Amino acid sequence: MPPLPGAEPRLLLLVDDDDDIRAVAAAALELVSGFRTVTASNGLDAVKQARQHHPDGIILDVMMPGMDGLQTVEILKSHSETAGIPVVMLTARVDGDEPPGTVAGVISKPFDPMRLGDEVSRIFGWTT
Amino acid sequence: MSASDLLDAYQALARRAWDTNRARSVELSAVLAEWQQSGTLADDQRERARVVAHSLRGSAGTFGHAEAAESAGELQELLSAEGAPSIDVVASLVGRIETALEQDPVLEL
Repeated sequence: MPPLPGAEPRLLLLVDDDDDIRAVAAAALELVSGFRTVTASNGLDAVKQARQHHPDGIILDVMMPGMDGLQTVEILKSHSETAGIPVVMLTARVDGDEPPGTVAGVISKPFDPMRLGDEVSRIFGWTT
Repeated sequence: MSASDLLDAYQALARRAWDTNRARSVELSAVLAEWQQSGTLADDQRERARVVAHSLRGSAGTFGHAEAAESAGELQELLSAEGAPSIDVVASLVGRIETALEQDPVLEL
C-alpha cells in the first residue's frame, strides 16, 4: 500500500537466509508497494536490526540455520522494545506446522512478488 | 524505476536463483546416490535433504520453476513425515526436480 503524500513510508524488517528471496522481496516491497526495508539473513541479526531500527513490521522466514524463525519470534516478543512490533511468518511450511499465536499471520512460499506488499498490509491491517 | 526495470531486476535475480537451485538439485542427487550405495539414509543426510528441499520449494516457486517447487514440496513433506521414506519415491522426486530445472523459468510480473 503506497504511503500518503508527505508521510514517511513504513519500514519493514525482512528476514530470510536465502539471498535471492531476500533480494526479490525487498525489491518488490520497495518498488511495487513503496515500503522502506532493512534486511537480515538470520535470527540473531534480525533481533539486532529490530532493536536498532524499530521497524513497523517484520517479515520473518521460519526455517533458517542457527536461530530459526520461531525462536526469533520468542526473543522479539520477550523484549519490551520489540514485543509490540507485528510479525508475519514467511514459510514453505509443511501441513500441520502452526505458527505461534503471537504472530499476525503467515505468508506461504512461493509467493508472488507483485502481491507481497498488499498481503503484508492486509495481514497487518494497514490501510494507509 | 519503471515496470520494465523491475522485470529486468527480477529476471536477473531469477537467473541467479536458477543457478542456486540447480546446485541444490545436485546436492539432493548426492544424498540419493549415497543412500543407494550404502543402503541406508542416515539421519543427518535425511535432515540435510529436507532442508535443501525446503529451500528449493520456496525459491523455485518464486522464481518461475513451479514444477520443481511442487516436487520439492512433496519431497520435503515426505522427509518430514514419520517413518522411513521409500527410496524409489525419493529418486522419482529428485529426478523430477532435475528435469524441471532444465527448463527455462516462467517469469511473469
